[in-house]
Amino acid sequence: MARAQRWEGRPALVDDAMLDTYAVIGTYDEIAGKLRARYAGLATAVQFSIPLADVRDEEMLRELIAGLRQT
Amino acid sequence: MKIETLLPLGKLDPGVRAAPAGLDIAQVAADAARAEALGYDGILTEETKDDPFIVMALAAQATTRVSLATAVAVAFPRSPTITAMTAWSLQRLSKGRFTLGLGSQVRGHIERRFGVPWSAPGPWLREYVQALRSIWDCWQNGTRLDFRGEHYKLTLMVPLFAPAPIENPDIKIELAAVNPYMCQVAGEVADGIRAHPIATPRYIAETMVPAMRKGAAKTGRDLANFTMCVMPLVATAPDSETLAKRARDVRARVAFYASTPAYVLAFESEGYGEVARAL
Repeated sequence: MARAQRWEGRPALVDDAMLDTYAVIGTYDEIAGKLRARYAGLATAVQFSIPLADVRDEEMLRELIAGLRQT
Repeated sequence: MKIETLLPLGKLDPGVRAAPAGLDIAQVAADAARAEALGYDGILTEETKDDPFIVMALAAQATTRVSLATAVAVAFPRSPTITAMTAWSLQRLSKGRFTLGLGSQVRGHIERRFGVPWSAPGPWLREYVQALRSIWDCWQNGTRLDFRGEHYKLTLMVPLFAPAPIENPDIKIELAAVNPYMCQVAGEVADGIRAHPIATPRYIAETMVPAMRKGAAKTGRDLANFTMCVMPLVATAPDSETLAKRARDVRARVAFYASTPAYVLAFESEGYGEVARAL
């Protein structure tokens, strides 16, 4: 299917449980806690960002980075 | 846990969900300074449309605190001596903040995009890392360069071409790894692993870490400072409506990875082997 480049049409095969297994989904209020819980004791570094459209996004990102760093 | 970001700033996970604009080489310095000011611990760059080492040089000049790592640069098209020299320059320029992240890429790209004959990637990358360390040892300690492997025979280094010793000569090397063999190679010779986005915590703990430990045991290496760097697929947003939209992109990304045969083990380990094959 990858060869046929038709994968765009198949995300329906990925159910919610599978999505939660391979991705971390949460609002800004939830995401730092979810990432910390998922990788605590396992990862030494995590790549994380959010879309940055304006200064408010940057302030939010600064808060999220601080939240992620809490142990 | 270190918090890292890819450049351009605001770029999300690798792949489909690119930043609105791609990396602009003229903006790297400003972006790197902004990432440092935002509180990030590290700045990463992939190798896609720009030379990642040029990006790292620009980021190094614009920052003083953050770590800098390629995540990852493609190893095989570059002679180890060229990569050794580039990393040496970046380590000196960044005053010890540089980490060399390397990956094998896949056969099609090595052969048809880079024009280099393919070989089994695990053994090749192991030898590549060993060659790098031999070259660096020669430059730092004045040892005679005498590296003899299957792929590389490096026996010539003269003063004109040997860089002077540097303050932080132990340049960290991280390898991109998904499958157990490459994790084992990383444990044997490298300082860390750059895990693929589809590596779940269970897959890391039950498949990658044991392979890495097996490799370290083989060469008697201490893993106390070994790094496990993750690049998770994340959907996040200020409210649930926007989150639903972003989650759709991530669902499509998971479907894409599941359709890629090289990653089947990571899907089988979670009981999604059949879904992966159907995709």
